[in-house]
Amino acid sequence: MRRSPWQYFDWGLLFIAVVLTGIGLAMIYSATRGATDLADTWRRQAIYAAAGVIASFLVAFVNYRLLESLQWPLYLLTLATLALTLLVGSSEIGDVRRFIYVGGMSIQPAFPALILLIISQASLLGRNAPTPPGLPEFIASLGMTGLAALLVFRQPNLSTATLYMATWLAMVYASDMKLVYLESLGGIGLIAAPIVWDNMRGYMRNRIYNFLDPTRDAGAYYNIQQALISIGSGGLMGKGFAIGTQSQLHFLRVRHTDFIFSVICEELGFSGAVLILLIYVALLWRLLRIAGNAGDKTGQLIVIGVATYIFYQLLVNLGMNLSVIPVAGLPMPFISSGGSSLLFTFVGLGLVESVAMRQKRLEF
Amino acid sequence: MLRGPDVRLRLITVLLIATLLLIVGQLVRLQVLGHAQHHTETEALVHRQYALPEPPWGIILDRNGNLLVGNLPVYNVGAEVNLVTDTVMSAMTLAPLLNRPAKDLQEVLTPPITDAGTSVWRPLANEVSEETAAKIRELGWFWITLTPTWQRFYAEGALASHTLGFVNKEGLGYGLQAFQLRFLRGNNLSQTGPVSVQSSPLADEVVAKDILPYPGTDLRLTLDRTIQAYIEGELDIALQEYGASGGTILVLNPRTGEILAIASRPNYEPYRYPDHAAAGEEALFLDPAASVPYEPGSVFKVLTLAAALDSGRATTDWSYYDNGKLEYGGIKVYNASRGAYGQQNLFGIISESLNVGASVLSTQVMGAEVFYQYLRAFGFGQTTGIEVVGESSGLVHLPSDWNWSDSYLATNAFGQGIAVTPLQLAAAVSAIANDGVMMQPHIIAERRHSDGRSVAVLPKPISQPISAETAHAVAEIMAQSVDKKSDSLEIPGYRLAGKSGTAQIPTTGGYEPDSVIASFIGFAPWPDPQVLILVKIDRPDGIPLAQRWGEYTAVPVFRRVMERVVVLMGVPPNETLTRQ
Repeated sequence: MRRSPWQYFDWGLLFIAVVLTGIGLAMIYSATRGATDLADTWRRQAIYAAAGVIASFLVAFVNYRLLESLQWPLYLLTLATLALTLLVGSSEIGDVRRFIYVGGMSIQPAFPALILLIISQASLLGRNAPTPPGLPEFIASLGMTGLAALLVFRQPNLSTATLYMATWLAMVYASDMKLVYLESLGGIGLIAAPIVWDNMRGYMRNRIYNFLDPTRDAGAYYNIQQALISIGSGGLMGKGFAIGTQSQLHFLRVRHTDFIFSVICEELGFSGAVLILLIYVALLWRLLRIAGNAGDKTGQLIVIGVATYIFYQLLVNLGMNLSVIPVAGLPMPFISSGGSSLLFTFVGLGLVESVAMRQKRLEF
Repeated sequence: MLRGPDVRLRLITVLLIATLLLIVGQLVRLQVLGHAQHHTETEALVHRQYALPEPPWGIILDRNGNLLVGNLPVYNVGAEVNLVTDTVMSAMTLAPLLNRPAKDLQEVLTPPITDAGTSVWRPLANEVSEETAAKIRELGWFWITLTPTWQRFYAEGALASHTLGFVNKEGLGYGLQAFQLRFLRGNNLSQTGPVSVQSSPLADEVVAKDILPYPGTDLRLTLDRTIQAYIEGELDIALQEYGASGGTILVLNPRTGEILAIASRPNYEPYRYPDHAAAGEEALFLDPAASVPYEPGSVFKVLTLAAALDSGRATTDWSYYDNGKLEYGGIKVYNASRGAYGQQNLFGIISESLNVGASVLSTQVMGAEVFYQYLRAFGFGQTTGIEVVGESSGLVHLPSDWNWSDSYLATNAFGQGIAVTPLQLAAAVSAIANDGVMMQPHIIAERRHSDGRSVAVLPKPISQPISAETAHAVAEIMAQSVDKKSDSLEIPGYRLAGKSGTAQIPTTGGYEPDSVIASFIGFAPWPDPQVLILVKIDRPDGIPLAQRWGEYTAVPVFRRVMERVVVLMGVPPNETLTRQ
């Protein structure tokens, strides 16, 4: 009897994602309450969330092995998307080409481009399975991802470019490749670091300077200080939902996007923050379980790629909120306000589900 | 099992979990260990002193409810300078909007280095218009603060400027507004409580403390906008015609003390008071009608007459022999024409304006004690209590003064050596028009408080310097002397009573040659006066010397104004007089 692939659809994974999105909606509502121009933010986020869940089912339905055969066209599509962003992209900040506006909604194409890139890289690195990829695959994938990351860096968008490289690193590492390649690359990186530093945009270097000496940029310092005060004043139990003074009285800025974790910490306290982190751990557990059971190397690498995509953003965002790393504009996955980011995270989960549905048959 | 891909997956997991633990560690540090400190910080941020939006000041209306002074919504612009990211660009953008040099703004927008990270707010501009505020709001800069406030709006421009006055930022000023500041200004409370980042208090906080601001008290004045505009026009025409340096016209109701119109020149625009102040023209702010005393001259004789009659020292059939000269207190008093008029009575003193006769009344008939007792009763040497700041009490020399000279008794009788304000003079003469009773001169008819209560200012008698009989006798003499000059002072249907004056202008150690203050004070319709008008023309130097007399300058203005005002006030003409 032929079993339906839906038997292996990971409902737990989707449930966790929906729970996180729900928490996000509530916190966005709290953070934007009382600001008339932002009053609709949480409703729009809810619409994107619904669209995201539907999209994840549609993507899960597509056999990832089919996409595997399309790796080169997909890679070209990645490059085309990023190049187009450089040509017609715009932003609210001066000479920055980061967003494309489609019918009233702004999309940051670097995110869908990275999902496409994950597929093509997973296919490339998994093509010799069960033999680990060799030097040609290593060099090819480094070049392909490096080129894409460079296009993102040119927007300029340093934090997303590092997201590209982090995803690549995790996938290469998980592909069982010889570590000597990575070690060599690390050595070259040390030598190349000064050159990269010289080519950084002023604002990028400023952010690092600001991190090292927060009193340099009054505006940035203000944000960091307010975030720390918000988090610290939350205490063990928090001030209560929608009554945190720092966020409700607008001392905390960009509170519904980059600094939503500070709102969580203020209003829900240490206990709420840790609870949410535990939900992320559960998400990680589901993802790695699917990776371990994946039907082939490519599937496993896709899951690793998507997991890195989510958790790198999470850790960078939390690190920024807690002032342990420089201010970087990466969202808190599922929770930060931002429609396209949420939608494409769900698309990534759809890919993971596609892998899960076609996992190793465990029956005897 | 520590081989193959699973090992690496586990290593990735361990790395991620370790990082999350690091995050939790930082959370413990901030939320558990650092909670007390951060809690204090947030309390300090949130609980600050705030000022509620300033409530509008009371508006000022004329007697018929026409707006004279209102309020325009404007905005004070400030900046949280520690949050400004690009001072150069911000300063350049704001410079044309705020009408300030960009360099200046850039300096203001640069935060002090020592205070980096703490909140520093600085004002950028005060009272910018609603349009400018909208443009600033469009910039969308979160660090800009726009505090709504009010600016005084003068609906009729410079109309009644001296009376209305103004109040500056320090709460000091001139005129009615400065005098009534505590009524006009609503409460402006500042409190300490939870505020937003823009320092505005929370709605719950305001309601809980029951500290809602209330607006100021509205004032309805006794002034009539139409009469006011009319007399200001007449005054301007007269000054131009006579080449005069200034002047005053005052219209009041002697029965009630209500001032219907009061205007002086030179005047100013209350709206532009900072410009005037910057130009060193503060002298313009003083109301000549209430704050600047002058020597009244011959119009004063009617009061000397009233005192002589009321004291019983002279009767209506009293007479004296005028030889054109009186020596008293070391000076010689002459008639204005330097002529001798022979046997004269009280009517002659008024009609021919005889200085010698007036001096005889004060020096020989009454004496200093009686004369000054009456001047005091008429209110000279004291303020009238009009509702403007800086009212002058004038200058009356008394025998007890260290610088007293006997000659004052002689000269005061015809309005020399004594300084009075136009308002004091009008108030004193109004006693003659009002059966001997002086009414409190006032310009506020009604106070309308913000809670809906409204308090009318009722006519208030303040004193009775002379008896009704004396008042009628003096008024009759004034009316007869006007009858005699019927060609220049005739208003068909209305009998007038009045007296002109042409006073020299005192200067250090003497009088200005040729320059005079020409005036006329009168009331109508006798015998039931409803209007008293004082016309005063300062230095009509643009016309030949012989024509500068009150009779040729102030009288025509008085006649025109009286003719119009009786109609505007609805005083009916006397049919018997009209038929003559």
